[in-house]
Amino acid sequence: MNRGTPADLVRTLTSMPSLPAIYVRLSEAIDDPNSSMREIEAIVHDDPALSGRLLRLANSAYFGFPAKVDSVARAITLVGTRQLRDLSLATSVMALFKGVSPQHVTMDSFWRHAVACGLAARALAGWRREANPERLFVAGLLHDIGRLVLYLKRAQEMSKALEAARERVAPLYELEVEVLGYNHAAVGGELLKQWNLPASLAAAVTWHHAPSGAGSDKIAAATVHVADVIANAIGSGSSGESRVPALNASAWSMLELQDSVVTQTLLLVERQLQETLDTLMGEPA
Amino acid sequence: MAQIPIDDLQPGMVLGADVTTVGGRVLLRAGVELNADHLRIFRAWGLVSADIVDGDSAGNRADALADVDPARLAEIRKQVDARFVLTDLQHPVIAALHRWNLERACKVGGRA
Repeated sequence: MNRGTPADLVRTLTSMPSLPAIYVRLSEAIDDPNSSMREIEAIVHDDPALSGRLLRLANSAYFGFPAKVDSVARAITLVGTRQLRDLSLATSVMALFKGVSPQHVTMDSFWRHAVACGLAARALAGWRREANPERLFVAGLLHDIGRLVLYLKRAQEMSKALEAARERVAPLYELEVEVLGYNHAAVGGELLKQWNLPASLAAAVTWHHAPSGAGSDKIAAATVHVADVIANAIGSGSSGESRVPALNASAWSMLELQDSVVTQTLLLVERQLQETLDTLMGEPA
Repeated sequence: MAQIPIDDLQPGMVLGADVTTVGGRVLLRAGVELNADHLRIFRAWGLVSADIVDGDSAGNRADALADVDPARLAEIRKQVDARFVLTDLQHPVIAALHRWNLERACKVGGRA
């Protein structure tokens, strides 16, 4: 029987909406060296929900600005256009899946795990002194997005995989391969490619269970891999896996971090998790 | 030397390593004795822990678990072990995550 490939699956996702126009417009404006701050500001103003979340982000403890930030223009200046784009992507993707309710996992639990992984990935990237740790937040946030697609489009097969995970001591991503012929990481990578998101982001998601396969993006994939293990260990929220997945020791070595950053990462994620969820998903203030 | 969570830091403790922000900016050098202002600044920068000389937190933490009723600890350990069954507990990263889960489960139960 031909079970198809992740790309086949993603191609059939006619009911899977594309990224909203607001994200595409914003991204183009940010990439265009000729666009002015006022143009970017105007795009943000067109989307009241994004404006609200941007202000909430600018006023969060993460930035810790002493005075209240109450204008969109000032918020963009303080937060930066890169992070504005990431915020728009994160909230766009979350909004796309808002109405869905897979039988296997609640959206609250799914995004809780996703945000915990994003925060852990950003913290690890920060300790590695990476130029843009926010990039890793997005990769961590979206690492299991393929599982949402599978829950919606391959519900029966995923029920089977989850049942097998309860009966046997094996990670869910391996059981997905047994049932489907591929796992959620490949599906997630395909979806991000279809959305024309950066290839490095798709690679980090595709290879988060096997970082050494990611070629020049292997550090990003290894960062998401370790962050996923940490997020599962925290155990607040889940994308379906109920156990802590095995840590790929060579992925950890690749990051060249001291063992003591693990405890620091745990403390940091615990501290930032609720506020970040509120910023991304809470009702606009 | 040990990593001490910010909520457990006290004035008078001596830093065993430089304190840096997530972005890499050095806030204080190793060897500095902490005062109340330092702790306030750490919070403002969103720091979560610091390396303290002779913190002996590993020893204290072992004691923290030793204080727990052995039957209860065994029960908690069984539950945590079940979640870690796919992992190699000998790896220092996994060992740290496992220990954190044990401590948290004991703490939560203790408050209830």
